[in-house]
Amino acid sequence: MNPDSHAAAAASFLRDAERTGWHDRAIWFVRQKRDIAARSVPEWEELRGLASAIKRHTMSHLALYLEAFERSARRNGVTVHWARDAAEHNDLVLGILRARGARRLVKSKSMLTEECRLNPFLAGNGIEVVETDLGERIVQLAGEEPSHIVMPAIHRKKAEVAALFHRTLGTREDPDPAYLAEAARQHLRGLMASADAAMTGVNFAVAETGAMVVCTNEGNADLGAHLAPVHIASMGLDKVIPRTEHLGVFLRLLARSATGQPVTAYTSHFVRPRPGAELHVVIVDNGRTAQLARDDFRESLHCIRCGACLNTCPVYRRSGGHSYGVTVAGPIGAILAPGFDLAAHASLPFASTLCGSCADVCPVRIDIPRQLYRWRQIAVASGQVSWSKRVSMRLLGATLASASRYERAGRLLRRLLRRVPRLIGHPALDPWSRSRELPVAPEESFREWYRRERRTR
Amino acid sequence: MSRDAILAAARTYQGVPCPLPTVPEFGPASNDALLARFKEVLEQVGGRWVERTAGGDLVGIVRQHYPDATRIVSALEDLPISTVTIGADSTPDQLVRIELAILRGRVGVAENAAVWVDEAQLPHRALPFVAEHCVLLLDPGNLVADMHAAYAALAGGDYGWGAFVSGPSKTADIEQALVIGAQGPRSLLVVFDSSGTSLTGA
Repeated sequence: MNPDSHAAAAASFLRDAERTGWHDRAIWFVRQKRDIAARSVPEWEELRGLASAIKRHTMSHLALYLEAFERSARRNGVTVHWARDAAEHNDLVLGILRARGARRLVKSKSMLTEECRLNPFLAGNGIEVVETDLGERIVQLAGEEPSHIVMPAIHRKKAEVAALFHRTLGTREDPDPAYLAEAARQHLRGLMASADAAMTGVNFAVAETGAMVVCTNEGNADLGAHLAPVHIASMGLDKVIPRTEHLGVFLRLLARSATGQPVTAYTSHFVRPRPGAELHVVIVDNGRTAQLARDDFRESLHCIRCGACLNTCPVYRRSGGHSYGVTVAGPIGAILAPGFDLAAHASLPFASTLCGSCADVCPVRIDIPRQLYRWRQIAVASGQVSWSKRVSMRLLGATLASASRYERAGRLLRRLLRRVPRLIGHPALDPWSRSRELPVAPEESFREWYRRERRTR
Repeated sequence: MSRDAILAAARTYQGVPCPLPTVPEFGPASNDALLARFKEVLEQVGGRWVERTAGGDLVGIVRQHYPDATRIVSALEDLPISTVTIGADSTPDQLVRIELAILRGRVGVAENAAVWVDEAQLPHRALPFVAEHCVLLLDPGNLVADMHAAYAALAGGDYGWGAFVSGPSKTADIEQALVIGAQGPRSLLVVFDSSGTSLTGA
């Protein structure tokens, strides 16, 4: 990917100004709902502090809690698997399905399995994979990736969903969300009732009890898991928390931060397999311990995937999730992805104004702007930014570092700009000015005016 | 082996040990305030509620709210309205045809209208999700203020599976338009029933 990949992808999203505005407003609406929900809890800031401290403690004792979780889960009759990377995770899942002769797998929303590219892998091995979350099913039928970790199909308009369902499910082309959701309900319940296996993600894994907590609004994770003979839960190793009492802290923050709901409709605790059924958990590393090793970025593993930083981000809202080219988009994705592959994702830390809004809304208080800034430094040091950005930043740095150079440059530019108004800020040369107009350059600077006034008094 | 490699990496890179904070108790509230708050939030999340007066007719309440339901499962003993028997070995085909499930909740949470149900009170785990409509009986004496208090009330309970249920199944995945009745129940009715025995810590 070229160093400007996010900007280039965002430019194509921005070509449809009407859609960009709609996307921006739809997602800002979720941010506003989050604000109302957060303000309704007097101890909100205390909860954020607790959540951050619990995560910091857990990460600093990660091996201990992973082993404790494994012990608890095994005692509960759960089969525990470990996967170092996406390929091992996918092989393990396929192995479990093949051992049971499973042909149809129903899945609730799991960003980890998206990250591992599980669906195309299973499809290539003859497994029918059915996403059962409505948003996930929409993007699956459309042959797309989710554009948001909580609202996977937020980039699609209802008329587009109507056309998609008409083509794939044979519904009439009616854009009424209630009609479309009902059609999906009938379609998905039938598939869930006849599934050979079910997969879910894991929101929280409790080391003390081995409980795996899964949150949904649709009830699809439970429908799938309770009807199928096999349930496979995939969890990133960052999902472990020490004790049940800590669920109270995280569950009070998660849904309020995500959608402004007081809690998701269903918060399910899977502890032991259903009588006569199998319960597996795959604990996945896939770059997480590498991120743990980076002092500057360890905190990014505290993320509980609420999506609040996406909803508040002015860049995300106006560029769309797909422009990031990764499973987890937005500010949190921009600090996670460079850890996986810096060369491929070096443009993402620059997809930010460093306004700091993401850190303000993060329920576990991850200092995202600081990490964005650190990744920028690393990207520049390793030559992962474009030639024009390197040269212009070096020039600007040299100018701003010296008062006399700054003054001389100002004088020169004011004079030049009065004669050639679009010298800088030419749309062909300077992307910043494509939708902005520079003000008219003044005759003199404040300092020049001040010196002149002093002389004349 | 991947397990050992992952744990070794975690041990190597987890950094300086940081302390585990103590989770405090947050503002207790009177029982009246809890009930009012629970009802208010339940309505916000798309649920409905009704109070069963002492010795009141539960069958009448159910009939009034779900006059057309015929395939009814009750997890309550001796409720003459039950028409379908479900057990751990019931098939998905039998389960997905259930119109109404009547279940007992163990603890209710005022801040988010969540009701805890677990395996001990259910003939099958799928029931709260698979039924077209769901009725949850809840003793108002088992209401707590928040999630911290809820987990404290459930402590010591040994369950293989359990869930907090807050309102009916819903989705806003199409243009943020709220649709009640996604894959799970299309409606949820909470019946406040103080005639039952207290189930907290049972």
